[in-house]
Amino acid sequence: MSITPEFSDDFTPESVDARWMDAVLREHARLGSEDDEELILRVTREISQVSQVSQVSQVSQVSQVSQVSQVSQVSQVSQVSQVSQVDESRASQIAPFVGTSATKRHFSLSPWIAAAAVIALSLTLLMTLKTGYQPGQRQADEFRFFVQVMPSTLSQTSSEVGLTKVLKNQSVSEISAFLPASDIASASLAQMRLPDFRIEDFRITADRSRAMPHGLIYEGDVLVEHGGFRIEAASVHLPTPSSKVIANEATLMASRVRVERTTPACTVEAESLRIDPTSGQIILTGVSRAQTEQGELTDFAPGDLVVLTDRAFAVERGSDGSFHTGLERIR
Amino acid sequence: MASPEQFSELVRTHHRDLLVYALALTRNSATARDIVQEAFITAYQKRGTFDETRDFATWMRGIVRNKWREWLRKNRRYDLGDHELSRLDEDITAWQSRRAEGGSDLFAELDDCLCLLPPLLQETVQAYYYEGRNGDEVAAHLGVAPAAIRKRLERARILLKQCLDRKRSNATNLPVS
Repeated sequence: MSITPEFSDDFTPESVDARWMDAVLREHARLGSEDDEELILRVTREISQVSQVSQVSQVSQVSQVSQVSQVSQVSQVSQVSQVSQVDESRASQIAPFVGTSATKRHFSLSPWIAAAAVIALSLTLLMTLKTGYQPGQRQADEFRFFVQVMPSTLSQTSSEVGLTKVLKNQSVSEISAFLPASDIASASLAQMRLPDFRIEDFRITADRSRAMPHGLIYEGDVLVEHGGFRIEAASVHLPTPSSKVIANEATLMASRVRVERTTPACTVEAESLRIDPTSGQIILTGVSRAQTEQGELTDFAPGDLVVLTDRAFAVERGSDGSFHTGLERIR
Repeated sequence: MASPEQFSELVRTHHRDLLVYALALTRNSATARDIVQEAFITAYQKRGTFDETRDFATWMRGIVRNKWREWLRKNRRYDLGDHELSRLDEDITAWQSRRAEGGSDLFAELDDCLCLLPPLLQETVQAYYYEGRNGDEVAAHLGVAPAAIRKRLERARILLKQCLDRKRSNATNLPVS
């Protein structure tokens, strides 16, 4: 805890009534009448970890630590916890869901995000396992993100409206073509009372890395192993989780990439990649080539996007914002 | 015994009042938030010992107070006497009770009271609390002496406290000046 008092100038009140009023004003200035979602998330995470998540997490962590130990000595374990919340301005952008402008087209890639417009998102870097690094060796770091989605303070009615709009603008079949069943189910997250958790692990190997104010940069034959994905990139940026989730923020960003998914097999080459913190989707732009089990796709326009999940592959065309599974255009 | 889900709801219901309480005690928002977080976690861990016939808000205030005393022992400053502590408890208790009875929220009432402040005090409060300026910066911003700002803030706090007290006792819509 901080030792230095935060408010200690000549303007700080001393009487107990004024001190009370000072605290009310400071809290009101900080959040108005809104809940402190970050605090609630922190507490909820703690009690949920005790009750539900700890078992899964422990098994996974043991496995990860063991893997790292085989490579080299674990030299640093740090914990960073920061919570982000989808703000209302973002909610208002997403909820209409027209899918025509560039920005909204991006959101249209994640139909359930429209429902998630009224949910809060917690993105927590739980653990950094930094393997021993010596000159001449490649740098290898491991990260675990704890992603938590929970209902916001917005009304239940709002979330239902958001979801309805998605389904009206996008046929169920179109959504189904893109989304795995589990993701469709997650469209109802906004109606859940309890947080939903997801743990995402990244192992990053690179020739070198450097810490910047906004995050970590990896350069030189970067390899990211993430679930069933293997991402080769010229450079990777791992931003520090910020206090707000904004439209273009990402868990991880990379440039000049080649992404391989093992099952179902898929390879995509693109200029840039970002991992959406809300959905966990891999979103690629500047795509030059995509290879799936059905064939090869090469005629991408500059505005086209490719989106990958564990099981799905989708192309969104820049001109009309429409969805394609990619299959109809494969040669 | 409350499930994690039920306990999360309790956290949502009570955290803002407890944050004000902890902030009044510590005068440090980061510390206040740490204390409230730790208090909730302690409460969750000890929820089996909580007598459900008792008031949860009172129990939580007690835990926050204990956490604050632990913090005081480490930092040896900003202590409050028993009488002052009782005054703070009265305020927080009154607002918690009001909300439990379906009355309006402390912060919503504060919105109203702020609008009732005289313009000079309004702009001073706005600059100091809501725009994040320190006292000297507010003085420079408003073109008055720091001593005047100090007086204005004192006056504003008194008027706002009176306004909130009146609203708490349902004597609403009285001018504060």
